[in-house]
Amino acid sequence: MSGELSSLPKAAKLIYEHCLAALPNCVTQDDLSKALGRKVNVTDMSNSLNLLLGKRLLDPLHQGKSLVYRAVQLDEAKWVSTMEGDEQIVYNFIKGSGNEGIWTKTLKMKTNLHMTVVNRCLKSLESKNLVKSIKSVKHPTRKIYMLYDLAPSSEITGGPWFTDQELDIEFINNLKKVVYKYIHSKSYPSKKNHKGSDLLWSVDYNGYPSAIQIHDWLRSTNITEVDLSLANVMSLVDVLVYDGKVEKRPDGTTFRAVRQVEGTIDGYTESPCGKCPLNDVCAVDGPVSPMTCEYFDKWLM
Amino acid sequence: MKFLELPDLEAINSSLNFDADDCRVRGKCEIYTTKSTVADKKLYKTLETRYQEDMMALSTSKSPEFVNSWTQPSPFGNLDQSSTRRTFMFILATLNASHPDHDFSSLQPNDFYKERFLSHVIESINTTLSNLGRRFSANGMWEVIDRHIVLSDCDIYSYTPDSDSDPYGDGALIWSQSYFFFNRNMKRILYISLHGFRMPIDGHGPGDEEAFSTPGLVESDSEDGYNDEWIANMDD
Repeated sequence: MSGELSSLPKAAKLIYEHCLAALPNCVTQDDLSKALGRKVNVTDMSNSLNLLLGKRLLDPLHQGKSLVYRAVQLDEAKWVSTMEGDEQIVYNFIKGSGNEGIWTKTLKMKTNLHMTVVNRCLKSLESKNLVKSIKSVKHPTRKIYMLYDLAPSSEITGGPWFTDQELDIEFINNLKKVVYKYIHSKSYPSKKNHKGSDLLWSVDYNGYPSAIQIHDWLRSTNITEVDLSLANVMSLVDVLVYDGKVEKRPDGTTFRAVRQVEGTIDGYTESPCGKCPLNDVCAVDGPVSPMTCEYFDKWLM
Repeated sequence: MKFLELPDLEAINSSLNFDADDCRVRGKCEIYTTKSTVADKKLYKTLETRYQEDMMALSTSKSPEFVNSWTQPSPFGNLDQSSTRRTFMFILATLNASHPDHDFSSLQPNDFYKERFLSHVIESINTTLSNLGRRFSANGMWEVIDRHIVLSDCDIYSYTPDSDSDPYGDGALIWSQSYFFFNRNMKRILYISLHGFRMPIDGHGPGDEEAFSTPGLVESDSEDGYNDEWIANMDD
């Protein structure tokens, strides 16, 4: 491999090494002139660029309106130069799709190649272990290809919530339970041996957990080997919110478990008015009124 | 699965692709024989392996709650019979052949539904077509089809995927109907489907390439006996 590098003329070698060092970023013509302007003159520069492009050691790309160059690793360049034209085209498109991968239908549209040609190229590339086919959770039936060495993005795999293309409901439910318990434990004082409705903290309590605290706590429990990001934990908390088990507090960052009460609460049956025999004559300025009600006094005490 | 090139069927196929008042319709009417390609054999092997592994897991599992999709009765019959699994494979292979950019091997037998009455299915398709204002005679279509695959002798399966698994499911899809008619004696499968899309704004619609591509021109596997000679068999 290094033999090939040393066979390049000095100018080309300098340019190539400069671009290689810049990976994964691209290098513009300006960068090259600034960096190597003193060592490489303009004609040598353009000759070398053409040489490197021909050997597939540089990929020409468009960034906006300008042309930029990105170095290609030596062994990859060797592979690509042994491919026939069609295969090179297919390979480059697959490479360009990065870790999202590219659907065969899109590949055919973009390359304008016939289905049989594309399939032949894909087969050949697969046998050389340069590309692999993957499954997306969003489109489970599509045939998608990406470079062999890359890992599919979490959009494709579904992230921690999917195992083998299927939503891991048990995993999610277990995590939800654990997170809920934690939030609940921080939202209400412990009942010790009391049964019944949750007790309440006073108004100035500020121990309600934030998403970051929940995330840190979850990580510290080591309950799962799966690495969950803050965004993942936020999703879990959101699900609990939609389930009506947890609410987001008015400060916008902390969460509080919904209070669990004994039995059902219904304003009409809880207040004494529902059972009061004088309900009909009760009025603000009448013989009996809420202000003077005896039952209220008893109820509120 | 080998696609049969039949000019009168091709005519039906093209007539199922049109623009109705409020939607764009993409339809397919294709007949395949159950002749296996290399891809089909691979598919069968994949399914059989999956079956064996699940059976192993079932027998070694101590949990009484372990429910195995293979042991449930399926629309195709009892899955512990290899003929049933073969039928299921034919349906998947048909889908794969008709939609070369997709791989349906992850589908389960329960994604399909066994239709009991031919008349209901025909009625349903006719109704859809007439609701779309299609004026060609639906009866003529069925006669032509019947000449190539005897409908009354078929097992019929319907497939209504969610939009994720639907080959045309790309957001513009409104409704779809797909049926497979399997005539065991003639070793043929008729795949008939209708998909309705909302009208595209820029004149370029979804499924345009699929509608006008010829299925069956997939892999020219020379190891396989028959390769790219597409013989227009009228009655195979």
